[in-house]
Amino acid sequence: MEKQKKQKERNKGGGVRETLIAFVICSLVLLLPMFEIEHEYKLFTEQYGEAREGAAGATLALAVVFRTVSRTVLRTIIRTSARAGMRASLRGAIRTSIRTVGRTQSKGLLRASKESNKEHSTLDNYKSLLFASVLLYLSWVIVIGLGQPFSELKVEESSEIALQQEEEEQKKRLEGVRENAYAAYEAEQAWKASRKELSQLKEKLKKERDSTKYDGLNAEINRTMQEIIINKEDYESAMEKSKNQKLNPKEAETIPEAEQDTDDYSSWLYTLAPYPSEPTPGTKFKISIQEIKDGRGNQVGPFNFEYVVGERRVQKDIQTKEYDASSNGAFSLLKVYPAPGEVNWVQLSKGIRLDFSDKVASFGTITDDHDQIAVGQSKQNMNSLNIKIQGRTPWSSAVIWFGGIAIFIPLWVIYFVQAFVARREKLSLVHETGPVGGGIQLYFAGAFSFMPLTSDVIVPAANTKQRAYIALAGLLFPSALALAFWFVWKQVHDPRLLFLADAFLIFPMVQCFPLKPLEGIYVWRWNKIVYGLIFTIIMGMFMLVASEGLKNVI
Amino acid sequence: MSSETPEKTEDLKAIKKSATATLGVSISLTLVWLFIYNIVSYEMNPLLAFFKILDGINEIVVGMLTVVVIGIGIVVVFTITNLFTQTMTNLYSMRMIEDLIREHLFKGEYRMFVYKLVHFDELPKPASPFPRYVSSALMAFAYYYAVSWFYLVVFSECLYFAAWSAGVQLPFYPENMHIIPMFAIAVPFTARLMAYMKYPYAQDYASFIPGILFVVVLLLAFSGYMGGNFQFLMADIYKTEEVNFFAKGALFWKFLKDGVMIAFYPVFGEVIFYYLMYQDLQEQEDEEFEGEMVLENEALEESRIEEDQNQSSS
Repeated sequence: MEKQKKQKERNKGGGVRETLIAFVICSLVLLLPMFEIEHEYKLFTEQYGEAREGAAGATLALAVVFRTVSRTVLRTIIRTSARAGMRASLRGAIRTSIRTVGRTQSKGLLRASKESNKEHSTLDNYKSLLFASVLLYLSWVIVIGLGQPFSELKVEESSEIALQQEEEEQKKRLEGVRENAYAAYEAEQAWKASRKELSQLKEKLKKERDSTKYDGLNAEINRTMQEIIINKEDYESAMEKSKNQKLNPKEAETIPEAEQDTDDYSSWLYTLAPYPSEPTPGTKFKISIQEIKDGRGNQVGPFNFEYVVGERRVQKDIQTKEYDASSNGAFSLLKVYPAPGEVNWVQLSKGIRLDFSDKVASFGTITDDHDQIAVGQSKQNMNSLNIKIQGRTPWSSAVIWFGGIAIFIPLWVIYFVQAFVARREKLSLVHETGPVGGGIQLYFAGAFSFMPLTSDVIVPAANTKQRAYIALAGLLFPSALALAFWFVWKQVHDPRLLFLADAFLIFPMVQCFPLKPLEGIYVWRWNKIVYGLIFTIIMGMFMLVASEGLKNVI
Repeated sequence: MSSETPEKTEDLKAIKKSATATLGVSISLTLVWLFIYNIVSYEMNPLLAFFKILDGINEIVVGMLTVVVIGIGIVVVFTITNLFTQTMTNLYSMRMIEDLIREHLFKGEYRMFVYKLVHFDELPKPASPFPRYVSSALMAFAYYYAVSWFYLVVFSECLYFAAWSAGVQLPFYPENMHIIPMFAIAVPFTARLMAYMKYPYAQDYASFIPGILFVVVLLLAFSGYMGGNFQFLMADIYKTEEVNFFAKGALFWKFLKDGVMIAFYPVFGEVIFYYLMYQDLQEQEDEEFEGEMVLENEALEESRIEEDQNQSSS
């Protein structure tokens, strides 16, 4: 009997053995390519380095710009959707688990919850708002204090200096190697021309039906291939002479003007962060590095380098500190760039490069001694060690403690606006901050991402149109306020206004998606065209009005 | 019954008569054609041409065998690619394949399994798109990832070959290395998206996918046999290098590295599909539950009214 039962089970399928076999196959199919390719890629890049972008020049500029913009927007959309999806799933899972406890009991629970909805008072809404505010405050403190999303952002002056400094450096580089850069450009053109000729010949060969001409073309292809090899060698040696610079003599004079126009346009579109973590000029700090080892186990260090953040101006005289190489050829530090001393933040934020006499195999801990400075991820690259230097929002900063308050104010404003619309429609509004919303809020805060999704707005007896009106009020009012704050900020340049604009914009931004229980779904259900319009407006605002800071916080 | 038998015999006789005539004409036509062919093409005298008819038949049979083998290859390629597209345009495909495997393959009914696989689009829809067991779900996802890789590589080659054939020279850079595999995945994945959205022409769209593969496989076979200059994407990106930017081979590894993630897109699409289907199921369950609640509330209300009436009467 038992045997028959087992046989029946086996025929039915889905047993433990079958699941285990399926698990192994699935793991192999899904993971094997990943491990194998990553391993081979690592081996390849260790030997030849990673593929560096930029060889295409301006031809791919549009694709690169599109990718940068779409990445920011898409990242936000995906994260918001993921949260909304998670919320819906968790709520569903809780409902299902309640049901499994017992349908009779669950009916009692549901009835109780319905009863409680009926008796939901304004006081309960305030309690919910208070709880949500605490959650938002906590999330903000965690995200800003621990996540440091503003660490790589700069103040407006520094952003302009960075551009100018880059231009200066480019000019300086070109001045030294101008003639060689022209030669490198010409050599590259010759190489490109021969490659183009080859592809044209191949094209001709493909279409050729006459065997005599076919042979002639083959010979010409062989000759062109030889020419390509020679041209490539010429180009490489020209690039070596010009220190990897190439310049088109015809375009050399017109480039700066064209760039100027683009800069004006992009700076108007770009809203910088209200409170970037850039340290103020005069900040003194020390970078300490423990031992650094080469491949044979020889070590040097520890080292201490003292820097002062310089004035916000273009710095042309950035020095390199050189050290004497060890006389017996032992592993030693050769150069530090920029040299310790006063250096502006634009330069410091590019990192500190240490050059050694041999290939760097490993390095010890790197620390700093200032609460406005942080050492980022440092990397060794052949004989160099690049130390990344970032800004830090210190724990004493008002951005953390008062910013946390400013960030939940819109929650209350939106509630009062929606409650007002609901009252006009003779409806009651329930503000609900449950454990699901709270849990998700804190979970994402743990991932250093801030998005206010703590609460649900429930309007029990509303029809589709009424609910859509309430949702529209919750989306449009804060958006309009954000736009107003942003506009005033444009005139007076007070960062507090931009911070408020961000705080008001983030709420409609996360709520405008057509996913239950977000507000966007109610507009979507009512009128798809209106929804499309609202979504476009809010997303457009997110792209143009939202500051760089807000985009980093998300 | 007995009246039908003579009629049937008569019919059979008539059919056999015509069949014998046709067979006679066919054989005679072949023999005469080969006889004349020997005289005209090989310039044989009539006597030799008559005796060499047998050699002619031999030549035809050998030639035909090659055509049949190529035909079988075409049928195999077409069936596999067609099955892929059918599984893509049918939302219930995973469950249907699972049912086929469990009900026929596992029971040793191989012929029935293959028959039903070939007639996949005629199979009845199951009640649910969800696989029956965890093991089946795992296998479904493994299948999608494997098929994605197949399309990623093969379709990238196809698209590149199409571009090259049209005289479009595609430049390769790290910034655009993901474009070709993205398009390669997008072509079959769009068929799946159409199926998700219940787009009415999903099948029509999907039916051109085997066509693309089919043409490229044929061209590849030509190149294999005749040594033509087929342009391979993998070979070309492997050879590409740009001094000071990327070494030879860097783009090839980047293609594969990007491919690990790109091939996962259809798997993720399937995850979202199951998620949405599950939400629908949950909503249905909620509605049923709410319905039960309404009925129970009404019953409670009635019993309360009855109790009140009883109390007031007593």
